[in-house]
Amino acid sequence: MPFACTTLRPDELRMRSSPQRPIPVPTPLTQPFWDAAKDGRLAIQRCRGCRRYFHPPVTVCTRCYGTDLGFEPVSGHGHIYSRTIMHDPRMRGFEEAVPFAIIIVELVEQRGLFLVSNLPGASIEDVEIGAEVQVMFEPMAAGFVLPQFRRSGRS
Amino acid sequence: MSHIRNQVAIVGVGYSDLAPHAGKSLGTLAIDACRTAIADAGLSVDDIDGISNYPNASRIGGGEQDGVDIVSVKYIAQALALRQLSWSCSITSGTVVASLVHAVNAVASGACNTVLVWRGMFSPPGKFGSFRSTHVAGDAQFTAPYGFASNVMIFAFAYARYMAVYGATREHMATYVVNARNNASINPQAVFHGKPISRQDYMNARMIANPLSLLDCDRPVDGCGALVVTTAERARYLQHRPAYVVGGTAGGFKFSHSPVLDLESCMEAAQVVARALWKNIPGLTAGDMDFANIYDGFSFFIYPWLEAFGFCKQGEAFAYIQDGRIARDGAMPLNPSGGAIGMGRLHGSPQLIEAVLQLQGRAGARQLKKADVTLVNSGSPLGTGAVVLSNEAI
Repeated sequence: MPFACTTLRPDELRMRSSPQRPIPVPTPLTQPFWDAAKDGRLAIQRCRGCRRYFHPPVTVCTRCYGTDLGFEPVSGHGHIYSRTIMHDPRMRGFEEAVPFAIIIVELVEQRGLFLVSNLPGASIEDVEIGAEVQVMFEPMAAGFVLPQFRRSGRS
Repeated sequence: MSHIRNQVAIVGVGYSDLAPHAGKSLGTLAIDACRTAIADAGLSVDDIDGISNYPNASRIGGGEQDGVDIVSVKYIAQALALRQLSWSCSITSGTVVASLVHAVNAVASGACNTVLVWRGMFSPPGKFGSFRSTHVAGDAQFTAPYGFASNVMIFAFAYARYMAVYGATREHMATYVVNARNNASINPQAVFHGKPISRQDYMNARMIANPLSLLDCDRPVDGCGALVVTTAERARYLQHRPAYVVGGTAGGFKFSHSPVLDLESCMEAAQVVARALWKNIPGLTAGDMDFANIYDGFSFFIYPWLEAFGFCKQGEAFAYIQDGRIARDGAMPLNPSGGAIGMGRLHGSPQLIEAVLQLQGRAGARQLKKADVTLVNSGSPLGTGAVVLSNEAI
């Protein structure tokens, strides 16, 4: 059940220009996440021993202390755990994009398994804590593809 | 009974000039504050045999030049020629109250007798909190490409979730911010001295990261707060009434793994700190405090802290602060100095130094009617110190 977003004003989220996003610098630990996104899949690191997911990826499972960790595809379904509307043009590359939304998505696979998104193309009514979302993919510079989310059941 | 209970007291405090841009180097400001605190205690530099500091650069991504961007223990040891030093400590989180807690433990253990503690803040020209990188490594590779790379956003998420879960609104927070600015307006050292605001001013404030507006963020300043602690035995012979450290703790850790800070992890971190504090002080609770000095670098911090320390139940802090309770003449005055929201971004000095001045009856126009025991903390739930201070050994 979505919560009411009492602090958002109807005019708060403008149609934004595309930002120049900082480019990820993967390591061997994080590379599989970006490789999967490039193939249009959301993959999250998981402990093969106790089956716990980790994002960002870790070198040792902090639940069972196992080190057999690998990436597995996930459903890409979740809900908006929280959100902000960024108004201040303090990020290089986002100066012309403000005000823009940033949401935290909690994936259905595991409580506290969080990813970040901008909810591209959303209207202010869409930026609703508790609302269901599903993954989509947005190409960005340097050949990277960025996992993003949109409201489920909406085009 | 804790090994530190009433064994150590704060005996001197001092501020440097405090201003958005003070026109003096951070090194000069820190030396000014430290010498003021030593003189306030009626001591000399040769009485100082310990130093304790949180030196982290006050702006992420800023420089690290000693005496310019930061002021380290090395800088102060040399600048004040502290040749009696037998102990020093430089911490990585928790700001000034955590530095104090380590100093108190050192004095109580006998490692040293009299410790100088300070926190200097530098506000360089340019936009605060800006992110200039074209590439991002580490955990930020999962956040910065979305435009998420600033402390204000970290806590905007936790605050927005708090509002959604518990029904808090910006109108509720207006009460805190207006009260803090009202307190600051009669504090000659506050950056907002003589500048109270109305609820409407708060509601109309420019948004930074919704729901945090400009007026929910402390104003960056140049300046330093400092204090001197010594044994309770020695404190009784010095010029001011001792502010005894009844107990304290330093900590603040996130126990979950994620690229963001969720509300539950934020509150759990605060609760672990609060439990450690009260465990250190058997027999006392939040209800025994005459007033409270709670860290407010972002206004939102007062909610998890008030709830964790037990001033009210979880999810009720936004209601607790209403109806005059936190005003200077209320049942639980909160941040009578104006806090960071009113005094400026000083990382805990507006809480700690004000607590001492109030306990000693030296808070001037802000002096509370009853100010004998108080809780002080500094830092976010992810790095903090907390103490209870009293003007009696209790």
